[in-house]
Amino acid sequence: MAEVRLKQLVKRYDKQEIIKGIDLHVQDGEFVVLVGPSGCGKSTTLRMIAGLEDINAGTIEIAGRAVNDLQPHLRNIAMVFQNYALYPHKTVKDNILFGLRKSKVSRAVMDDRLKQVATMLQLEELLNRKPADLSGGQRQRVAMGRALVRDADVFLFDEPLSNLDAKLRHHMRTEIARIHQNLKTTFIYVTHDQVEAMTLGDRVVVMWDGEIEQMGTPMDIYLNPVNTFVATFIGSPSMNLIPATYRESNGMIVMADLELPMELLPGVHTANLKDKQALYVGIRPDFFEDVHYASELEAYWKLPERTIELIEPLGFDKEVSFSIGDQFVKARLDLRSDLQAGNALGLAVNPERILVFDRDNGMRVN
Amino acid sequence: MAVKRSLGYKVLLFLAVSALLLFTLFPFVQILSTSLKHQVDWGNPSLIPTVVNFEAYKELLGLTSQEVELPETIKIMLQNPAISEEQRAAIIEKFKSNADIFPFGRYTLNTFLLSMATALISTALATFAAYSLARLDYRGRSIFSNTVMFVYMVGGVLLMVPLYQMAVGIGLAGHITGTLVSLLLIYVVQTLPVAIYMLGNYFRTIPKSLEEAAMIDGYSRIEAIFTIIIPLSRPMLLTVMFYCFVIAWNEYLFASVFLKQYHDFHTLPLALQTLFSSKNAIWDRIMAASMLTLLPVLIAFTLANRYIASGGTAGGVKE
Ligand SMILES: Nc1ncnc2c1ncn2[C@@H]1O[C@H](COP(=O)(O)OP(=O)(O)OP(=O)(O)O)[C@@H](O)[C@H]1O
Ligand SMILES: [Mg+2]
Repeated sequence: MAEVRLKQLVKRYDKQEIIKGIDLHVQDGEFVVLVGPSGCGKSTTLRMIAGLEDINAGTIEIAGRAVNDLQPHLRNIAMVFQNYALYPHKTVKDNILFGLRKSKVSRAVMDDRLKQVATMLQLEELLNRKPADLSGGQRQRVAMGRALVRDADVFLFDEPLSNLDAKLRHHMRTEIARIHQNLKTTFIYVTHDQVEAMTLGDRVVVMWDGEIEQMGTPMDIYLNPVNTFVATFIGSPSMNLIPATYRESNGMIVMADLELPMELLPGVHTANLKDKQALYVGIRPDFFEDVHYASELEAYWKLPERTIELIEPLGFDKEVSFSIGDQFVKARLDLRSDLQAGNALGLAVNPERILVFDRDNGMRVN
Repeated sequence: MAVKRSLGYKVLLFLAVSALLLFTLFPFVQILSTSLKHQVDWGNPSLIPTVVNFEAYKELLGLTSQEVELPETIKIMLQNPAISEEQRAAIIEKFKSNADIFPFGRYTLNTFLLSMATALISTALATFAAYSLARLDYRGRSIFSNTVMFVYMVGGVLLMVPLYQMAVGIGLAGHITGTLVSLLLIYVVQTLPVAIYMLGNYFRTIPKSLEEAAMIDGYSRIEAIFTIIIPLSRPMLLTVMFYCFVIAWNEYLFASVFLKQYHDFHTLPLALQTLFSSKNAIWDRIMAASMLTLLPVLIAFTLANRYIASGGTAGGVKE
């Protein structure tokens, strides 16, 4: 059990900054998910916490103690590697128990933990095999087992589910959430799968290009992204960003033939906007409502009728595409909306769910 | 991997392989043949001896049981009552013994001990040197690496005289212990570059994350080397040991200079050379000695090969 604190953490490779001074405070027992596109520095950050990479500037504290110069084996950390890193010459059982052997726990405790982990990860049948004789998913589970069997202060996971099929991934996701509930230990979990990020994390940290763009609860990040990067990276299908212009004369945000009255958006301070300023209007596909089925639409922004260009069924939901000017826009409607391509479509949006961004720097203006 | 090949291709391949085998193995067959021939048979160009004669081998291995005829003069001398019983026995023993003809066992032991020591020391040193080159980042690493390779490029002949002078200069060449130590040092230095190179390249194929995983599991770097790297490198370690062993086993140049005056400590290559030019230079015996010199290497290779083939690092990481 320990809190982890990163202060102004910097990592350089040959003068190029890969991690550009990040600050992060992970509470004791918290489940924090680092999410971001490939190459943004998630693994590097995790490896610095583990002590596998040198730090060029800043500090890392674990349990209130600066560990910058502490070797990895003295940090009492468990980690699941992105590439499994199983010991090829050891059996599954010996792979899992390797860490406990070093920490000199009693044989009874060892057997007990092994059994627990093997059951949880469905590894009972595989304990005497070598890694070469396992499938990718099985190897990944062994890698998980090797970490979870330990009694570590902090658990680090580097995309532990990336190699599993959809069903097993779902199962393991639930399993990890449960393990964390039982252990109540600090978990730092890296993924580029935003579903994992949203479902697992107490807090989600969105990274991009070596910097933290935003951190907060999954809901907070989903509903209140601070910029267009976070807005489009989190959520699937991703948020519609419709190019728009502010027109001061009549207090409207204009998107091609559509006009969005400013008075619907009390969060946008008109004082901060210039006439003809280039903006994006961001609306998540989930927040469009079919006017025929929704009730209480008084406060809503009602779009003039659109023509449906494409329908993609997705099980219970369907994705309906239409245009606003040149911009292709997607709405996610439930099955009741019995629509065909070419039909007219009446939509409305709760104005609280409409986000406005500056088109030049991508930052939120409301 | 079953590739269908035409008959013509197979025949051609068979002929080519046979020709190559014949070419490389012929000298060995010649040695074997001559070692088994009787003196009268030497002129016979056929590889198959008319009578198979194991005398040379028996003699070298000290298995001859036949009575050695004492020359008449010695017999007369032994009748002299002034000679004590012990002296008499010693003289007879001296004549019957064939150890001084060619003490093959002794030379084999000398060579084996020297080669084994070289193999063990060189492999142990190379393991750590290669690990540091493959994994650690420190000032002067590339200079170290280049220097090692440079040593390899300098031929032994060039260094022979200066090294001997140095050994004399620091008083090592004056006695047998010092001589053996200098020889061992030279063999180790001679085999180290290739050993470091081979092991370094092998270590680089082992994913770094395996050691990292061990460190996360609570093992220090040194412990990770012993629990992960060395077990995983067993095939290459054996190959390197074998390489060092064979180099030392066959080394003639330095042995001839350093051990010249210490007959009891001659190694096999040196002893063979002496045998060639001595009055005992009988073809079957020389060839039998050559054969017996080859044999341990052959056995060692066969044994090592089994381990060299096994092992590997498959399955540990996602490719
Ligand atoms: N040893 C290295 N030398 C130079 N650059 C490196 C090194 N290791 C990583 N990088 C760079 O650092 C950046 C961050 O890498 P990192 O592995 O942390 O990304 P990531 O967010 O984990 O990506 P992914 O989701 O693909 O695993 C990348 O641009 C990568 O090219
Ligand atoms: Mg990564």
